[in-house]
Amino acid sequence: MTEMPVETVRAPRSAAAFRAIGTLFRIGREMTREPLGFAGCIVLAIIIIVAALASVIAPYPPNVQSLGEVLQPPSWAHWAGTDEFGRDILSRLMFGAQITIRTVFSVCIIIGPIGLAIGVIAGFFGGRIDAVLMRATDIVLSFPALVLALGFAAAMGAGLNTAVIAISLTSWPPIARLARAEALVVRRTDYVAAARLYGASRMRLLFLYIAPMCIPSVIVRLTLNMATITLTAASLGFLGLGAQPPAPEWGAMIASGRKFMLDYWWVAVMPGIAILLTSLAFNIIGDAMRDILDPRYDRS
Amino acid sequence: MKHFSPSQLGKRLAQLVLSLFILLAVTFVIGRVLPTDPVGSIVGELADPAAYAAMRERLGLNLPVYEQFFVYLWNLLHGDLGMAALTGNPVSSDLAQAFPATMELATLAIFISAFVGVPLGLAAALFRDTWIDQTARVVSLVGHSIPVFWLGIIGLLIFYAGLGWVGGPGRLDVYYEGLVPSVTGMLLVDSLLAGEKEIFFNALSHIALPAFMLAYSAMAYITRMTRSFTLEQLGQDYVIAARAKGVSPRRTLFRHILPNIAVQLVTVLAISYGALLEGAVVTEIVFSWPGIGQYMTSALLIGDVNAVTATTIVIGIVFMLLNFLSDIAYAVLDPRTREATS
Amino acid sequence: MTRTGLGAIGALRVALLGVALSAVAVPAAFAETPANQLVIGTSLAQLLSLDPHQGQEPGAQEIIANIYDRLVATNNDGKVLPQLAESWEADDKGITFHLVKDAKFASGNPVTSEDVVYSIVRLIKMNQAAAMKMTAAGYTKDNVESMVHAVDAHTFRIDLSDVITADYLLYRLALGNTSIVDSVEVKKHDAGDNGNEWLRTHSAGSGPFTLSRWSPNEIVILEANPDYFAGAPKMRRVIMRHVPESQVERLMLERGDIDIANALTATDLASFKDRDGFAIQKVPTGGFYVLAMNAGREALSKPEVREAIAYGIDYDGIEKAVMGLYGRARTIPVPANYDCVVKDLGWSYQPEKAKELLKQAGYGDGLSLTLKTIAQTPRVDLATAIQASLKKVGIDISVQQGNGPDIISDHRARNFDLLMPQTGSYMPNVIGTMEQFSTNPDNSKEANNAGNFVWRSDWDIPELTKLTAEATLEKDPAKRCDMLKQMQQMFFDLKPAVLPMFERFNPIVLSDRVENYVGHSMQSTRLENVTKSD
Repeated sequence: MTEMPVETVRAPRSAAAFRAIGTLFRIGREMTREPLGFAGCIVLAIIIIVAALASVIAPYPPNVQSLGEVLQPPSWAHWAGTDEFGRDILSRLMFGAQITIRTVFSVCIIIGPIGLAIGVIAGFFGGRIDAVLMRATDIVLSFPALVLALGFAAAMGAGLNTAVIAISLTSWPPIARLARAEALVVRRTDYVAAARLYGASRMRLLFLYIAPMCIPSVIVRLTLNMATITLTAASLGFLGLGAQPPAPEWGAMIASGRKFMLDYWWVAVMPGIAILLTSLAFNIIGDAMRDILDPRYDRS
Repeated sequence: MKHFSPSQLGKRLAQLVLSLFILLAVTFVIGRVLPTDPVGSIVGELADPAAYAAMRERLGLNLPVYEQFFVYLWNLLHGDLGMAALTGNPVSSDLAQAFPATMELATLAIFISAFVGVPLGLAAALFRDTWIDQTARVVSLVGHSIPVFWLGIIGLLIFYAGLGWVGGPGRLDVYYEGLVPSVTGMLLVDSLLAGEKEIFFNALSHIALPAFMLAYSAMAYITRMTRSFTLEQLGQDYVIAARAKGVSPRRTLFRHILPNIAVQLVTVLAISYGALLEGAVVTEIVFSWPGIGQYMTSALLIGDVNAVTATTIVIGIVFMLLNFLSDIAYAVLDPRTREATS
Repeated sequence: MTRTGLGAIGALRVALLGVALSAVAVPAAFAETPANQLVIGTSLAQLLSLDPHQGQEPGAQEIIANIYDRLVATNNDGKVLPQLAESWEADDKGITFHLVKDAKFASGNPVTSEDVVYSIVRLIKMNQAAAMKMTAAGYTKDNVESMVHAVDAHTFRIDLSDVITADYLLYRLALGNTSIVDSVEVKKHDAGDNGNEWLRTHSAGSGPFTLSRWSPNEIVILEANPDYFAGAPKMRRVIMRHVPESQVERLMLERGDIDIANALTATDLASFKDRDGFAIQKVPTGGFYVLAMNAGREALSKPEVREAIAYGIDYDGIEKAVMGLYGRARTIPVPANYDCVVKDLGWSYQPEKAKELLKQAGYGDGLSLTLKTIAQTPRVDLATAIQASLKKVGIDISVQQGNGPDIISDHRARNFDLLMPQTGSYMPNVIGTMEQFSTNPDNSKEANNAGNFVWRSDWDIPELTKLTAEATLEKDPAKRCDMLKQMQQMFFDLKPAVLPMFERFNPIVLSDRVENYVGHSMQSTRLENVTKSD
């Protein structure tokens, strides 16, 4: 069995990867036909581009104070006005987008593989391993995520990295559950059976055949999660437990803008709009992806 | 679908206990790692080493970690949550004051969100792909995407500062404070018990805005779930058959669809209630609401170990109990389970 | 599908109507506080104890001042006034107080000299930070019992220690921490802790109010004491509401939910300026906004340079543009309304003179310095204004902002050129406000006396230090007054490295309905005479 030439198992394997990529492409193609989902994609694309190019396109540096023009209302010079230190709010929002996007993707990069691995292992092996892993997942799922994140963030010291870790610690279980459900389906498919027949080892089966097939739905789930991550990160920032000043984190900007909201509404309102737009874009895209992948309307 | 036998109930209970244990372990770790010196905060910066060591011993910090953990569990089991550096009071008595305030807010919010969300979800499903459905979708998408603390700020700006329709931050106009004897700790209930109509309405005017703001995200979730449950039922054979037999639409809704989705809705409400308790943490700050959320965040900012861990535990326990009860309710209410057992 | 929908819509309509009605049922909240209750918005954060012999925070002081009486009180001009003692005589050895005869505690117990003895002994035996002002004056755990005497039921005598004069002892006895507690009540609750656990959250005083409720970080309610010996207070209740957010506090004041707002930010204060229905009160603190110069730096070690800076600041202009409610120009560290003040001493804005002095010191071509400040109103604006002002005399300042702990630790480590700290005061007299500007027993780096304000500026002033110590112990009032004036003159002549610029005020905003509220500089505002119009 172990003598089996590698070439023979390669065919189904590339088929697995091909199918996974194919599904993602189909989602992408159909997304362009769905007006709302398409709009969401455009908004998100703009946010990502702005974040990537912030240092080039932002009209002002984000942290340089200009005490001569504090709390200016929105104008042609400052589209979103200035804050209490005379910093241009639009420029800060652009740099803040970097922080948000980085936070969201960092969390996804952490919880995606972890959730996928736990779910796929549980689904593939079944039995006792499945029971233990799913019990653990249920337990973490029954924790109040934001409150625990608050506790973690406080224990590890406030900061962007701890915020990422704190959010990750509590947000992998839904991914794991989903990946398990997918793995249960995938492991019964023909080509997995074929690969098994060819003598692929269990590890091979797991990581080269089954896991890739679960990726599309994990990505959809992650996209839906991104909105929640954005909001949780903003909450931590608002409470002073996220990125520290003078970093232009959106939640923290709202917290400091709140001190001026009666006379200078824009200081607190603008970052809120940025958060709303971003998580709305994530939600719309996730929604549309889910509709495409599962027309029956997933209920999780 | 889940079917609950006594042995499954036992398993579920065991899981609950295990979860609780892990929660306690996690909070214990958080408490040990918090960057504060519990001894120093009691004896003061300038205390001599002997006094420091004595206090350290009194707090049990000289014991091995696992023993400290058992002492911690033992104290918790006796309702001893330690003293709060934040207030100088026992944490348990602080929480006894703060918890009802949060409960009151979250409970009112869940009523509002169910009251709006369920009908909206039903309507969206019944009138699928019409403007009603689209409206419901937009409303719920925005509800899922809006930062609740920001919504609170905007609400305060518009409805309190601008229009003056509601009472401001806090639970009562200040001069009404302390006039009603505290029975449940929930002012709406206490004022009615005391027959103080004026205070009741004042409390209502204060709680209305935070409750509505808090309710919004839960409502979004409830709407979406109701819609999807209803759509599923509408596609079922029995509904189609009932309609073919000429059963009136109203009867179909109330006799067939609602009873069938009721069970699922209970679960959704339980989950939402838990989420509301969490959302209350940030909402309370915006509305100066003296509940556990505000208590916890103030404690966090000064690194008050006892207060932080105790609050986490209390919210965690409520959260888990809600999950547990919704599972039980599922088993008890689900018509399929009932049929199977009878 | 449509038929189902049409039928269901009736049911939905009912449900939605219910929602609409419940929203309408909430009455519009236009509130006005009742005329017999005073509502104060303030910060109750870090309020940990209302035991007068323990509580230290400004918030606690404001409350304790109204629950308890002290033997004597002070006003903002530094005068000592009778409170529980209707009169007193000081001699070389001590002070004898004659207590008000019909004063009673809220419990009904009469106030006797035994209570006074108990209270002072309790303060010192509990040995908390609250006792520091008395222990520093020579009253310790070991000697206090032999120094306080109940001469008869209404006569109390306290002996002087070696390190205090009668006048300064009086000021210390006027502090909130030397309040007189009901010894009978407190002893009832003594569980080996002097009743501290109980008194921390209860009141046992003879003051115009009693503590009715205290919810930490939320609210404190005081009820009038109808039997108060000087007459029942006009307000039935005083409510102090914890409002940590300045904007919220401002809204509450605007909407009539509170009568007095404390600790507003500059922006929110400004919104009440010249506005009908509100008055702003500048409560003096006895403290100053100070420009600390590091005399260890080459340029700043020269008195000419320091004086050039003192002449180079546009005090009046900055007062108008920046300080406004927060401060009043004053360059000698003693408020002008105190006794024993040298009139017309100090610096004013004279740019030509400043340039001349710089030239003399060898900096005619200009000078560059950094200025560190805590990022906080009004200090940031003050720093920017000083920067603009000094620029005109040829001194380039770069401003560095930081958070509190960082700036303070730079200050303590002598790691700065210029830095902007602020001072406070514990008694409203020359020594109380000036001592910290004129005492530096050992300027050596090794002494590491980082708690000392002058040491931090590396400013060596042995003569002034000696004079300050002597003045503190001088018993003859006239002689002492001369010495105090001499201190101010010497401070001026030495061209200080700790330059007071503005006398510091705490601005509060009051609704016009409130009358007779006079904010007290030591956070001991008494409320028994406050009235409210309808």
